[in-house]
Amino acid sequence: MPGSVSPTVTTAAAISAVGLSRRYGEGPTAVHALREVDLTVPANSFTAIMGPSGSGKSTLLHCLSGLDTATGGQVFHDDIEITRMSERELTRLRRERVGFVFQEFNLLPTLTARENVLLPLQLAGRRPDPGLLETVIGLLGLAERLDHRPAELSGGQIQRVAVARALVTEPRVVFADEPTGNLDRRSGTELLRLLRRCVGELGQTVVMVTHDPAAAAYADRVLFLADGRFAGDLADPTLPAILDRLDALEDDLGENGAER
Amino acid sequence: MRGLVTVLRRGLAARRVRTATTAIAIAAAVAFLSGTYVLTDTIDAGVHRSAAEATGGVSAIVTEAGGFGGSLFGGTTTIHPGLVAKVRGVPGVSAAEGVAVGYAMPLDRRGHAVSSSAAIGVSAPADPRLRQFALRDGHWPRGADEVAVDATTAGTLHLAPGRTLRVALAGGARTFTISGVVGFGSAGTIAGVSVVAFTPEAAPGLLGTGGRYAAVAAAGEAGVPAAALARRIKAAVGAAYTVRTGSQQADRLAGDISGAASVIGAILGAFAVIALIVATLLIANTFTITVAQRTRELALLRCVGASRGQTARLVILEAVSIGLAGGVAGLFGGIGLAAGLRASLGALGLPLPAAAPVLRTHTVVASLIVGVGVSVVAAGAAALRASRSRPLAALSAGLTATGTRPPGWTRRIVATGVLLAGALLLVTTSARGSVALGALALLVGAGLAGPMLVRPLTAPARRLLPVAAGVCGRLAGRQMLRDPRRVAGTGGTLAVAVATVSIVATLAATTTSSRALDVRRSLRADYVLSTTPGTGAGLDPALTGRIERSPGVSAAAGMPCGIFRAPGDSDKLCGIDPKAYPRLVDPHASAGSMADLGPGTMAVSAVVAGRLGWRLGQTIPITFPVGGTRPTRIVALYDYEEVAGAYLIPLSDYAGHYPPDQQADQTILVRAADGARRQVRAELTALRADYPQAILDDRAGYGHRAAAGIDLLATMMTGLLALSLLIGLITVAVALALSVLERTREIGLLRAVGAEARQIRVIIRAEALATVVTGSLTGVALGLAIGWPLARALNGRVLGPPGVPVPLLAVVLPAAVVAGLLAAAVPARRAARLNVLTALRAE
Ligand SMILES: Nc1ncnc2c1ncn2[C@@H]1O[C@H](COP(=O)(O)OP(=O)(O)O)[C@@H](O)[C@H]1O
Ligand SMILES: [Mg+2]
Repeated sequence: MPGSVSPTVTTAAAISAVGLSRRYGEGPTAVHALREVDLTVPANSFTAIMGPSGSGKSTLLHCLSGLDTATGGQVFHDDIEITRMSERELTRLRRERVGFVFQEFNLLPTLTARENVLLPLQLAGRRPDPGLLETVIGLLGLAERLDHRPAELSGGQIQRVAVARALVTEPRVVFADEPTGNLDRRSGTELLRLLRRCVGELGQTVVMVTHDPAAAAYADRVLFLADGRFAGDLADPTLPAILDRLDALEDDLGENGAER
Repeated sequence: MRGLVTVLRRGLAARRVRTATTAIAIAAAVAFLSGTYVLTDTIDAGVHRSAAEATGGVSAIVTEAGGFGGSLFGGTTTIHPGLVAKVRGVPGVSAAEGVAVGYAMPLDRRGHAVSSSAAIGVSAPADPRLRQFALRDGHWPRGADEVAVDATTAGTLHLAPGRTLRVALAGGARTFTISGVVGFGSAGTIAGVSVVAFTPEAAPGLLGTGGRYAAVAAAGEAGVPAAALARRIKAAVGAAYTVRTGSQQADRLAGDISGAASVIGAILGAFAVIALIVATLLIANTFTITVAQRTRELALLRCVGASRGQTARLVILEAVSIGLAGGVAGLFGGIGLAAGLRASLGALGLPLPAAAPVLRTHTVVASLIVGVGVSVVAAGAAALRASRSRPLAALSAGLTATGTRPPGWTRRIVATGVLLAGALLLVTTSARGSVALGALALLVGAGLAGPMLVRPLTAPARRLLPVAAGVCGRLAGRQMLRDPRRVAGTGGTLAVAVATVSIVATLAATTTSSRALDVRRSLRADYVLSTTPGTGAGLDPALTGRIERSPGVSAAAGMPCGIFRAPGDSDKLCGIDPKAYPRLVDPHASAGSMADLGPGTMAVSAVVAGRLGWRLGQTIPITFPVGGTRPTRIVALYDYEEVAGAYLIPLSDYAGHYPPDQQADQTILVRAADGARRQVRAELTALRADYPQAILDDRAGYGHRAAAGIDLLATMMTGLLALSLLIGLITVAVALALSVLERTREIGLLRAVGAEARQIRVIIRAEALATVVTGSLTGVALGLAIGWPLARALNGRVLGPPGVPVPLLAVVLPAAVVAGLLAAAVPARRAARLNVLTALRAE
C-alpha cells in the first residue's frame, strides 16, 4: 500500500508530479530531499501533506508551487509543465495561478492588512474583482481590521489576512506551509475551517503541509512522505486513522534507521 | 571572554557582505579625511623645499622693515643705493648687491599674459653667490635686450635660449632675446610665479624702480657664519631694516608663499573640517544601522546569559576590528586621493608645488581616531539603544522592527529651541561670529530634529512615488517612514554635504550680484582699464596722461594703490585725483563730503569704518612705506567700494608716500565726450597693444569683472566639495545595501506573491531617489538659509536682493536623480537577483 500512486481520483488533476526529485548538493554529502515522487492533486480539493520532520514536506510544496526548481522529474499545473519554466514565466505563474500562506512572516510590515491583501493584484497591475474581494473579506471576518498594520494584528488575524491575500488573485491552487504552526489551538481551528470553506464555498484547491494530525483531519485527503519518498495516502482522513498511519511510518523509519 | 571572541569571529565571517559594506564605508570616509590632510601637508612641504632651494646660497638678505608687502625676492622697493655700499663695507661681507624687483609678465605669441599669478621681473646679481636661482640652460643676460626666464614659463611657452620673448612691463611691452633658462633648485619656479631676470644695469630702468632696491643680498667671506654676518649687517644698517640669513629668508619666503597660497590653505582647512564631519556622519550612520539590525541576535545572547557588558563588549570589539581595517585602508586610499586632488586643482589653474605625498603623524592619528573612534562610539550608542529593550521583547519583535519610538519631548523641545535660536541669529545679526554661531545652531538643530523632520520633508516624495512607480513607489515610500532615525542619518549626511556646496554657491552668487550692483551704482566712467589683482601689474602714469590728452576723452584718471598700516588694520589704499574723480566714480558719500579730500585726509568705506570703529572727522595715524606715520583725518565715509576700494587719499599725498614702482596705476578710469565713445574705445583698444596687462571693459563689463573675482574661489571650493557629495552618496548606497540585506525576507515574500525582479529594482531605486532628492533639496535649503546671512556678514553688507545660485539650483535636481540611481545600482541589483526561496528562508 505505501509507495503506490492512488489511482482512484477521477476529478481533473489541478497538479500532478511525475518522478519528482530534489537533491541538495553533490557527491557523497548530497541530501536527497525528494526521491522520485509521483502524485496528483485533484481540483477543488483540500490536500494535506504529512510526514516526520525533515521528510521533505516543505521541499515538495516548494517544488509543486514553482518556488523551488526540481533536480529531476516533472510538475504539471493542469497540463502545463512548470518544471521547465523561465524565471519570468514562474513570476507569471505566481501572479496568476498560485497563492501562498507561510508559517510566519506572511505580511509586509509597512502595509496595512488591506494593502497586503491587494498587493499581488497591484504588483500584477490588475484590478480587484469587487465582488470577490467582499466575499473573501466577509468569509475571513476581517472587515474591521483592514486598516491595521501587521504589528497591530494577532497571529490568527495575520494568517487570515495571508489567506485573503492568497485568494484574491483567484489562483488555481493555494499552497500553505504549516499555516497553523504558530497559532494557538483556537486560532488554528478557525483558520482550518476557513481553508475548508475556501474549498467548499469558493471552489478553491488547497495544498497544505502540516505536522499536526488534527489539522490534517480537515483535509479531503492526506499524502504521507517519509525520507523524501511518497509513503501512501489516506482519503477522508479521521484523526485516529492519521495517527495510526504516522505510527506505522515512525516504525518503518525506525527499522530503516536500524538497517543503516 | 573566549566565547565572546568566537561569537565575534563567527559573526564577522557569517555576515561577510555586511562587514565588507561597513568596512568600505569607513574606508571611504577615512580616505576623504586623510586625503585632505595629505594634500595640505604635501603642498606645505613643497613650498618649504622650493623656498629653501631658492635662497640656499645667499648668506644674508636686507629688506625694509616696515612690512608693506614685497615679493619672492625682497620687500618694498624703498632701499637707497647708499645702503648697498654700507652693507658692502661691513667686515666679513665679501659681496653685496641691490636687487631690483618689479612687474614683468612674459607674453605668449598672441600677446596674452602667460599666467594669472604674480609676474616678477628681477635683476640677476652679477656675483653668482648672490643669485637666488640657478642657470639651467644658456647664459646669464649680458645686455639690456637679453633676459633669462624661469623653466616653468620656458616650458609653457616653448622657449629656448636664442628665441625672442615679448614682456609686458609697467612702462609698456618690449621684446627681448632669451639668453638662458633658470630654475629654483629642482623646481622650475616657486608658487606659480613667472620670473624674468634682467641684467643688474638694465633692471631698474625697465622695472621702473627709480633707482631703489627691494633688497640687498650679501655673501660672507669664507669662515664667517651666516648668523654672525647677519648680526653684523644688522648693527650697521639699523632698525629701519630687517636682516635675515639665507635660511631665515627661506622660512619667510615659505610663509609668504603659504600666505599667497593661504586661499588654498583656508579652503583645504575648511574642507578638512567638512571632511571630518561628513566622515563621522557616514560611519556613525553605518554602525547605527548594522547594530540595530542585530537587536535580535544581541537579545538572544542576553537570553542565554550574556550580560549587558558582554554584549556591549562584543559590539565594540567588532567595531574596533572593522574600524581598524577600514581606517587603515582609508588612510592609504587618502594618499591616492590627494594625488588626484592635486592634479585637479592644478587643472583649475592653481599652481601647486610638485612633491612626494607627505604622510604626517596627525594624518594617521586623525584617520585612526575617526575610523576606530567614531565606529566604537556609534556602535556603542546603538548597542546601548538596543540593550534598553528587554531581551524577550527584542527577541519576539519582528526581524526588522527597530526602535521606532517617537523622539521624546525633551529632544523635541531642545531641537526646536536650537533651531529657533539659530534662525533668529541668522535673520537678525550681521556680525561674523554670531552668524557663524547661528549657522552652527541651525545645522545642529536640524540634526537633532532630523528624525522628526523625516515625515514632513519626505511627504512630497512619498506622494510622488506612487504616481510615478505605482505600488512599488508606495512600498518605497512606506519604507522611508519605517525608521525615521535611519532615514534622517542617511539623508542628513547627504544634506550636510549638499549644504556646504550650496553655502559656497549662495555666498558667491550673493557677493557677485552685490558687487555688480555696487559698480553699476558708482561707476561714471565709460571705460575702465584695469590690471589683474595679484599679478603685481601696473600701468605707467604716462599712459594715463596720454589717454587724458586723447581726442574724444573728456576725463581720465589713474588710481595707483599700495599697502598701508593703521592701528588694527593693514590694507590697500588708492590715490585719486580729487578734481577728476567726481566725473569718473561716485562712491556716494553717506557722511562728510568727497570734495573735502585734500592733503592729510582720507575717505573710507562706511562698511570698513564701521567695522574698525572709525568715525567721520577722526584722525587716524596711518603708516606709509615712505615718510613713516602721518595723522590722517577722515573727511568722508562712502557707500560703494568696488571701484574706489576701501580707502582713498589724494593723489598728491600718494605720490609722496609710496616708492616709484608703486606709482604705477592699477586702474585707469576713462570718460568719453558726448558721441565719442566709439572713437575712445578704438583708441584704448589700440593702446592695449603696448600694455597687454591692461584689461579694457565698458561699464557693464567692469561690473562683471569686479564680481567675478570670487568665482575661481567658488569653483575650487565646489570642486572639493563635490567629493563630500560623493561621501554623501556612499552613505546612501551603504544604507541601502544594508537595508536590502535586512529585508531579504521581505523581498522573498514580494517575489512569492508575484513581484518581478524588475519591480524589486524599482522599489530600491525609488527609495534611493526619494532619499537623495529629499536630502539634496534639504541641503540646498539649508545652504540658502546660511549662505545669505553669511554673505552679509563676510561682506559687511549686501546690496540688492540676495543672490540665487542658479547654476547650482539648475543642476541639483538632475544630479540628485542620477546620483540616486547610482547609489541604488548595486543594492538594487543584489535585491533583484535574490533567489526567491533563499530569500524566504533568510534570517
Ligand atoms: N537549502 C537546503 N540545503 C540543503 N539541504 C536542505 C535545504 N533545504 C532542505 N534541506 C534538507 O532537505 C530535507 C527536507 O527538508 P524539508 O523539506 O524542509 O523538510 P520538512 O519540511 O519535511 O521538515 C532535510 O533533510 C533538510 O535538511
Ligand atoms: Mg518544513
